[in-house]
Amino acid sequence: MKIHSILDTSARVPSIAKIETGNMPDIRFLIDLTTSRQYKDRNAVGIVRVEREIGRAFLLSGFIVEFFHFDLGAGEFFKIGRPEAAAILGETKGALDGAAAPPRMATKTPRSPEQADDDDLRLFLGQLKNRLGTVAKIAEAAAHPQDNDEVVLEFFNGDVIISAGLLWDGNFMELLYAVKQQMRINVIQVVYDVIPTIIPEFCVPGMNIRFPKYLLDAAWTADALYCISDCTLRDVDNYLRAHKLPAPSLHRIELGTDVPDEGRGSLEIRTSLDANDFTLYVSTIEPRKNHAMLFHVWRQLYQTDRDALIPLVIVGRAWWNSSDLVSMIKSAEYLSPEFIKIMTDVSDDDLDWLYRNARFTLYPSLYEGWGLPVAESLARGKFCIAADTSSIPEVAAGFADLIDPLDLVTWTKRIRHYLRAPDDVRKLEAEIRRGYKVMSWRTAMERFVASVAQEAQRLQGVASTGPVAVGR
Amino acid sequence: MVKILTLCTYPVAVPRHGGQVRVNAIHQIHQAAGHSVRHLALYREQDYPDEPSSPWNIHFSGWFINELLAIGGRTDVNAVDFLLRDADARDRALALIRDYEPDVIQLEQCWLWPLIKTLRGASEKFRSLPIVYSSQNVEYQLIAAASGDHGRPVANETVTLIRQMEMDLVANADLVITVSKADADVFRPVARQVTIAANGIWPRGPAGGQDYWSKELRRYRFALFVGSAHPPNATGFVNLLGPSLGFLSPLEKIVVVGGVGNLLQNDRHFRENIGQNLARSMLVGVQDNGGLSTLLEMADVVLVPITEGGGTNIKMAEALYNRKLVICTPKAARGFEAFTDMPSMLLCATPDEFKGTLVKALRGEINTRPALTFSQMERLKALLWSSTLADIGARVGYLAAGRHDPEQARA
Repeated sequence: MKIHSILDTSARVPSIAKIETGNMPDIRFLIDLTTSRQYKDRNAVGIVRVEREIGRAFLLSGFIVEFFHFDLGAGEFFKIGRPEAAAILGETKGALDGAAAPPRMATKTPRSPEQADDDDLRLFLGQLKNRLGTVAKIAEAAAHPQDNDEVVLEFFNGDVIISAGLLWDGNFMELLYAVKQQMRINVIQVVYDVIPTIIPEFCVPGMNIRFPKYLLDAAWTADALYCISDCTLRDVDNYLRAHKLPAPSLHRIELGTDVPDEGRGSLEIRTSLDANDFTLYVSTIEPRKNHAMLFHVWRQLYQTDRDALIPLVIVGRAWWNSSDLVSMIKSAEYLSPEFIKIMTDVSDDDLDWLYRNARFTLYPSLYEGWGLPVAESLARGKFCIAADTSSIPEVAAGFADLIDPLDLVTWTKRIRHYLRAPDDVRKLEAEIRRGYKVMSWRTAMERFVASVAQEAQRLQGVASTGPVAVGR
Repeated sequence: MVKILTLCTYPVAVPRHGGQVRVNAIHQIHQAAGHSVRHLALYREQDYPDEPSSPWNIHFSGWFINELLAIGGRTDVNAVDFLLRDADARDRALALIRDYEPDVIQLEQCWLWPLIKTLRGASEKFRSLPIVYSSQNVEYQLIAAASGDHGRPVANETVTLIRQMEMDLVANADLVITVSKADADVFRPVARQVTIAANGIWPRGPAGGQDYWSKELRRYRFALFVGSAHPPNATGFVNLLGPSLGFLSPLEKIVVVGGVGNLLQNDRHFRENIGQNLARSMLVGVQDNGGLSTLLEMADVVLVPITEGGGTNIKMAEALYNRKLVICTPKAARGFEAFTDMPSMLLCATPDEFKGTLVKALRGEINTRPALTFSQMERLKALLWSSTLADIGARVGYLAAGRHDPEQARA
């Protein structure tokens, strides 16, 4: 197996027959960075984080990779040159320094990551790390002036397009479908959830129109859908079956949780809260996230358990349909701001401090595609009381207290219990530290890249440009 | 010169929907025969914003529109109630009719028959005037099958009253004009004289907006569905193509022209999957003749998804005459039986058949431009209004002269 550096200019040449790949077909991976590019100067959140992690993983994979973005106004796909891609992907601090790349799928027969030989993997990672260095070096070495020009992306037979962006706001699946009618390309799409099709009343207005189009076009266009949880995978499968839509192959993509080294937190955050004397709910404020239920719990506990009550810290911006609730919280002067505090624009460092110093965390969301704050809490050994719905039990992995998010009475009872029994919380935290397995972004992306490579091989072997059949 | 008065619950100077197009065509045929024509229309002004003002156009008052909304009434069925309760409007209508001194009164649908009946009861002169009843449907059957304007079913008692009114008009009419044999068969036992004048079309006018539509639709193969805000149009679409248009690929669309688009957007079944349905359809509203010509020319196939209601469909005639591939139901083919052997007419009775044929047409698995023989093309000329209404001008002229049967008169 010959591993080619991504700095090799041949990687940008459509003719990719120069690569020795063993059984691996000559596949060019086209990675969509449209959403990350839009969020370039903003804090990485959720979907942007996943898109960037995928971009970084493929950048370091040794595969033939190009990056692109879709310009909705022009209706065109444009290449993103290596310097710009590195700038976009390197924004998450330190994530690429010393990062290992996943192995290239170069075995005679496709193998799952679990089957891969550990020695081969270590050797491969060492080689790759030596060859590539850090993102800064990549960007420096790969800087080609022509890469900064807006160049329309050309598709070639054998391309595999990977998208993990916010496609419901800039849906280009229809265009990819048109390309697929002309060429042998494959499309892989990451699906986060299908919540707008399940509880549209809890989604921003207009999503009942935009989201089904995205999902419909993805069903028709994508060859594989990677879902961020088993729950999402089931939901997608149910949707495709219920509507008799074409069925791409369905897979899991695991999401990572990187725990930074413990920081001090800002002076502001440390002086505004007493360590271990507050609870934490990290989420934008919107009806689906069910903040109203916690508000009622705190109202009740203020009446019945004021001596044990500690602040509920909500970290997140007030988003759509939440102004009434925020107004009510602020009007409850006996609670706000002493017992309910809303914080926005919290830095990563302060957020880490909040997680580590909360007595416990809360996550009563009505429905999720994943539930990252639960993972972030558990990854720091912090106990969480969470909703028992959708994907949240998967994230909790048996280490959170799960309650029906509509059961106000039980939430009140359990929160009261944990407030009055700190020893129980400490015991649960000890169990989390002993048993909870943190999935790092590195491992998650290694598995994803390996799975995509395997799927790409399969697709390239069976790819068809014929029309997709109606129904299943 | 014979003076002909037509009456109905819509204006006809700027024809959009099928009913308007038909009455407008009848006017043109009468005028071409040298007759004078006036049209008294009673309607909700906002429904026909393009219509020029005319003393013959009488609009419902606000209080009446609110009352219709409150009782779930219909702007056609309940129209005469407005005249019965608004003395000013009634007097205005009667003054116009009296001043015009028509030789023949032609009612398009039966809704304003009570007004004319009252007039006849009060005046010997009007009692002896020939009456023509012309309708695209058997109204009481259509009403029984369709829902009210606001989705409420029409009460059986109301259907009975409508039936009584319609059949009373048929019995009192000197001539009944239907669009199909099926409708004629319903009226024949009661009517004195029935003639069938199928719906037709005018040769297509010049195309317009080609640049715009070429750009909008450049990526898609599409089916064209043209329909007015006539409830059976939406019902047929949803029944045959629902519950979701997700069976169409991202490069396939249904372009929906006319007021039926508004009905669809408010239809419960269409809304259940509105995201998917709007992803695969374009509801482009009412288009002028130029735009419609362009869309008809560009369309790969024309849909006529009619599952209820009577009458015949003008869109069917337009599509056939313009050599388009038509996917239609047997019900939609009523009145066009003479053309069912044509390769451009695909009859589909079930939703699966309808959808499957549409998909095949859009994917090029069916020839969307089938060749017609010379004789088939000649037969298509029978679809023009000038052919379908050829008999009407003469018959009405003879009625005005007091003779009921042109054959008899000729003799």
